Amino acid sequence: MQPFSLFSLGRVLLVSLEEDIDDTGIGELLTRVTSQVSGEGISGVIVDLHHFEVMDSHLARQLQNLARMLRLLQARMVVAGLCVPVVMTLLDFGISLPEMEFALDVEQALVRLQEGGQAGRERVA
Amino acid sequence: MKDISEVQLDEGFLSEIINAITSGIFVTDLEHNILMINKAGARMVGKRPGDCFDRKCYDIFKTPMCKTEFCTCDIVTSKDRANYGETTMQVGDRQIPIEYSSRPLKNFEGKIIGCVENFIDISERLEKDRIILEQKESLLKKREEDIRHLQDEILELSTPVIQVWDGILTLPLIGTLDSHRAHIAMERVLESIEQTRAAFVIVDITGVPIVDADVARHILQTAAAARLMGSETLLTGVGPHTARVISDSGVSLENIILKGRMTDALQYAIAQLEERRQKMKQFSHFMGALREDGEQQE
Repeated sequence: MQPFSLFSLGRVLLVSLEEDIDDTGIGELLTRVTSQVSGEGISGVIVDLHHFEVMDSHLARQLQNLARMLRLLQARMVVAGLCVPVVMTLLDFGISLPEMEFALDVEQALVRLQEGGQAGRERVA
Repeated sequence: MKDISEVQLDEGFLSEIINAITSGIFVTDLEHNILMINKAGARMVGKRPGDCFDRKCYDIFKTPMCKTEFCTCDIVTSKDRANYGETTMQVGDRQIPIEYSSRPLKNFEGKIIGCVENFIDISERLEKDRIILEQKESLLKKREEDIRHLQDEILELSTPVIQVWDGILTLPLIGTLDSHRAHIAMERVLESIEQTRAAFVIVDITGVPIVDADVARHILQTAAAARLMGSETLLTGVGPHTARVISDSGVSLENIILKGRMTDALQYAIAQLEERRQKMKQFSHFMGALREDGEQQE
């Protein structure tokens, strides 16, 4: 049983993480997501974290890492569904995750990617 | 029975009077020998007056100041003045708190020949004082609790988060903003975002009289938190003075959209929401088209 699942929605990749994901799981996740993004021309990745009630700084750093990699692959990353306790802990640790975007849920994340996606294309054109 | 005025004031009658007094009285000479003690005083140390005569006062009373530089007999006889205080005396294995007052005893020529001490048992009074203090403390504690409760209540009242539109929350801040209150406001904003799934939070600081770097930092913190939740924060009501303080303090307001008045912020947020709704509609069309494609292919 994988600690994460990937759903392809056209040019958007939806990543759902389980709370018990470990280091090997994260490593595999990074490989799978980056290869899929570069291989299939995906422009946006949504990471759904609404299962998470706690998040440690290590996972936060790995997410930051993923966001940076995706940026290099010309894809945007939106984190969806952070709950209040997780947000409070992140702020208490002074982690602000500056390179990511956030959305309340997957639907809003999709809208957000739509918004920016157009802007991105305009820039390319 | 004779009238009191007819009684002759001789030595015997004086000692009767002294014995009738309820506080302890004793007289020592310069060598600390007890020359006289009344019944009440002897009773307090568990003895009869006869047992105390010609014995050293420090053997009878055993206070912590006996035989030290604080010995009240020595003080009054050497300095020729009265001395008062409180101490404890050891009777058997019991400590009795007493209050004493001493005066030098002089002969007809005015020479100091000894010391007169008067003492009373104050254990009851101390006990009463203790009870009063306890009551006072419990009353004070209760009052403090009440005040804390009221403060919480005020905090609760003073950080209202109102949903003014579908997807738009407002936080009109009024009064001074300390870190405690800012923290509560932040928590409430986050909870409200989670409940209402609002995409915009408008923080209005028109009613905050003093905005310093700390307050600015608190607002920024709230904006950072709202961003992590997936909402955008708008700040309104920044006056010229506040603008200057914020720019001087060097706090960056990168996660905050600034608008002049609440109306502007509302208009902006509503327009954004409408735009997103259109996008969502397009997107669901697109998804629907995808699905139809798939079905046709099958």
